[in-house]
Amino acid sequence: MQPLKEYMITKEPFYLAQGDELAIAEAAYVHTIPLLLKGPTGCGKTRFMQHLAWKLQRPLVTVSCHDDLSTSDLVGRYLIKGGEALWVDGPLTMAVRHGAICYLDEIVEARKDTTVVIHPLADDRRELPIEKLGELLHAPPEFMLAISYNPGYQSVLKDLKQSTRQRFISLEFNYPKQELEADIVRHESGVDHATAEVLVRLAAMTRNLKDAGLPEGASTRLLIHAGKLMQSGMESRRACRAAISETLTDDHELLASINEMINSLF
Amino acid sequence: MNIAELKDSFFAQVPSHPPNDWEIEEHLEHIVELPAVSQELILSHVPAIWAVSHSLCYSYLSSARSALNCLSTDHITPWVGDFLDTYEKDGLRAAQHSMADVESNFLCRIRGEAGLDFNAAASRLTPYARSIIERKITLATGPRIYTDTECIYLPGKLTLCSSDAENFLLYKLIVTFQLGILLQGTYEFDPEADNPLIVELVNTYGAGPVPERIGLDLFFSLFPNSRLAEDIFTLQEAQRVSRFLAASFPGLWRDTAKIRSDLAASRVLQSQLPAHSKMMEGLVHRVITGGKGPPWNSMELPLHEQVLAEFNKPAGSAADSAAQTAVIYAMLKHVEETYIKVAPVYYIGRLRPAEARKGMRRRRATAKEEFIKILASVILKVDRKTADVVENENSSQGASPVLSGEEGTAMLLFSSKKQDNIHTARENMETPRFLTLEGPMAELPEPLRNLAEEIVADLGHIPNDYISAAQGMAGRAAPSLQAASSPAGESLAAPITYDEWDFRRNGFRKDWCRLLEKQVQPIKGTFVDSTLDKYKGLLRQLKKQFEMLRSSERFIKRQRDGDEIDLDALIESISDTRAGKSPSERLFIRLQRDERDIAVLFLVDMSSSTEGWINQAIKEALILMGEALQVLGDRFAIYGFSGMRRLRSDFYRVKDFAEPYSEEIKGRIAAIGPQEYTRMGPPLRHAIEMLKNVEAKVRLLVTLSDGKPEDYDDYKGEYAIEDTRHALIEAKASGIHPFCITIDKQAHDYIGHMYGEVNYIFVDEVRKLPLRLPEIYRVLTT
Repeated sequence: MQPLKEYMITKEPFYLAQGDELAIAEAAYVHTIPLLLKGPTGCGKTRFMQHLAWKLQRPLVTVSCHDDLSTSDLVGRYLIKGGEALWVDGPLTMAVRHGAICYLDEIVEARKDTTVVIHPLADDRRELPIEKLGELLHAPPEFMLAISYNPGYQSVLKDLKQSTRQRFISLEFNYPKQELEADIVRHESGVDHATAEVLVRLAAMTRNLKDAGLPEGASTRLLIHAGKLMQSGMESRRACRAAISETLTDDHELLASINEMINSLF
Repeated sequence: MNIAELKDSFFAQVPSHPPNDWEIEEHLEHIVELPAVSQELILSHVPAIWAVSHSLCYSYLSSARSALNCLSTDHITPWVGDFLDTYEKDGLRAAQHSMADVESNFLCRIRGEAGLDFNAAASRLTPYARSIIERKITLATGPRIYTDTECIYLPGKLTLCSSDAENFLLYKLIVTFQLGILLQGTYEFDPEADNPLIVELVNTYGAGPVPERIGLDLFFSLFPNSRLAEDIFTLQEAQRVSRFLAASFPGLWRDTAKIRSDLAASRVLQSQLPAHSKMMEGLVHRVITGGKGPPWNSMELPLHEQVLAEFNKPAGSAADSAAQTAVIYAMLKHVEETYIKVAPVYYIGRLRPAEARKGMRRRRATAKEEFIKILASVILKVDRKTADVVENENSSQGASPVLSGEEGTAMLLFSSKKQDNIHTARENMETPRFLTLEGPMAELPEPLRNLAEEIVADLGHIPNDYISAAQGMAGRAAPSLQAASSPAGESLAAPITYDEWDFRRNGFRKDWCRLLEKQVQPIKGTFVDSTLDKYKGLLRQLKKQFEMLRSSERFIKRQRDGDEIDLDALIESISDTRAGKSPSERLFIRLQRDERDIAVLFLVDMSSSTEGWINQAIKEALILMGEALQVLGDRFAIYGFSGMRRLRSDFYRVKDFAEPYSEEIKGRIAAIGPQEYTRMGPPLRHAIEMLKNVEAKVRLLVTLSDGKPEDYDDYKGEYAIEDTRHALIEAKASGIHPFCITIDKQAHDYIGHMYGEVNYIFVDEVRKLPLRLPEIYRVLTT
């Protein structure tokens, strides 16, 4: 039986390349160098990883990091079952053992001491010491490590340490160009091309609101949500309100402004 | 009250700057006949108005009587607040005007009969406008609707439609249309003199010699009847922009269809219009609704259709519209009657090319100025770094630490690199992020990057003189800054205005104070070392205490899940199982961490009254605090404040949140020195703004001051206390914890009121401050 079968991606995930990111990622894979994806939320980082995993025919193990994520959550721990202590691999160990792609999403959310576990894996040693088992795992060449973070949250606390980031090859993601984004919205949500274009224009407008108190404008993901609502017969203005403006902000005035944009466009 | 009593009562209200006897008498006469209750009511508002403007106060006295005729006594206070707002926004004349007709200017509004006020729509419209156009556009009220490319002028109030919702839509239509004019580049039409169209026009109509570039107004004057040409062109462009809007903003176009047809229907058509004016009126209708407009008789119809055919041709740019203008003009030029200009379409207004040109020039000038200033500061920073290196090298060789010629070469290098960067940037369509110098790298600050983008978008490139001017500025500033040792350093940005709370009118004085952020220049001296030495023992103790605060980690046992197995629990559970009892499932140990996420801003009183011991103690306290916080890892910033009068509140930057606590910062702390007065409001409000931008679980604002807030003008006593109190309330409303440390010989009663009972501490012995401050901080944050 093929291990991690449930982590394999069998159908090609829809992905339109924004540039040469696929070529870079494949080269990184060949040279066993880990990947760092950065970019705003909902711009396609995770989808890119799925596509890459599909292309490389490797299982994809994704871990969403949070500030309570401990080393054992990544590496593994003993559990007690019927009076016996059983070792259970964490997702990272599992990925290393089976040569999968391990994707740590929003890595800056994890505590700094947790981030350090990946250091020996991320340089040319490519090994994962499991202290509790007294075992040193060597990563097979198929194993790949990828992390992502959103540089938009400009907080001193949520910055990646140089010692961590300088082990990676970095890919910067941004919202795709207008035509590309419209294609993506159309394909993912099923709306017609004209509607997709209007949605993309709306997103561009909200992204202009940085100074007005909206640090991040509508992401491609939100546009797809809005499109899906429209596809199921919801009136366009209502769909945009539910999927975009209410999602973006709670600020009363900004909300009203975004709704005015929606009213103008639809 | 008779006139003498009134006068006494008036003088009692305005102790500072009392007016002349005869002057005030004249105005008090207006209210002398009123009953005493009304007189008192009127006089009770005098202090608030007097402080804002004396003339306004006189007008108030004159119109108060008629106001009382239609206002109930409850309405007087909001009415006063209302015209004070008008005064602060539009000046004395507007306020007097508003006072003169209380009925329509105040009462109707509060009854909700008077249409939609711009202020009510602005908060929604401004972000809307900025989302459409990438450059920073402002909305303002003005007598005519137009845009000068940096600002869109709108009516102060819209009453055309019956409901607020429709009036708002009309506002939105105006804004979107004016933005459409900008997006479609109507004002960017400035052909060269050898443009075929211009040459043809000059030849046909025989205009005099033309300059190299033809602006819009000049273009109109090429026609003998420039007014007709202007109207044709305006409508032609209006048609083009309307088409653009209908395609890009279909929702808006649909929503405003009714309003637009109402607008078209309400146009008055004079029966005796000359033929070309009538044609124009037809085009106006075409633009607004797509309809036909006035009825046409069989004589006019062919011409109208001919004009319309040309008018309806698709146009891709302002140049196309200009060409069409020439064609239509030629069709109409044979009409012999005098042309009567048609009324402009309401939401379009008339084009104002001269204003647009001014606006564009202004925008360029401000962009240039900003760009030069920021770039100069970047150059300076880079230079200082190199200069430091040079200095160190020199001093190690025993030479005098002066700026050498190397700095000059560094700058030259910098310049050429920068130019390269800009060139490649233009090729790659992205803006440079880094400047490279011999060694040090400086990241272009975000505002500079944005400005550079803006300038490139406007002019196509960054002119050389921008960069050379910045170098010049940096060059001039460099030696003077090196020499400067006083804390009154360079100003860092344009002044910021803040409102001030006036308790007498229970409202804000709009944009009353101006605050300037300045940089404290570090001084080298023995102060820092001697302080560290003096408190060596205390410091060791402090560090230990603060280390323990760092982040508390503890193992919690007997958890359902965790990183480790809890052996005690496991053994117990096994023995429980053997004994036949049901075992516990809580067999794990988990590591619990309580991380500190605190940002603190220390705001230091730098008024002249702190001179001597207090200043010394504050500085020592800050040094100790800095060392302790260094251990703790909490983010902190230090700012000082002082100033004189409302127009010059100085805000000194000692350390911002991003800067590491370095020797330079210690030098700046040492440079904190007494300056002028203590106006607490503006610096507090500025500190609040800064803290709002910091992401932390706990945001703390610690002020260190002595005694009462006081300024040279009437900022003293109750007024100052109430303003300070209000600023602190604003802090709490923004989720910031204010805490005030007062150093004074004895505690005064007002302190509790001003700071709020739980938010202050009182230090009576100055010498103890350096010991007390870290202690207070420790207690506050645990």
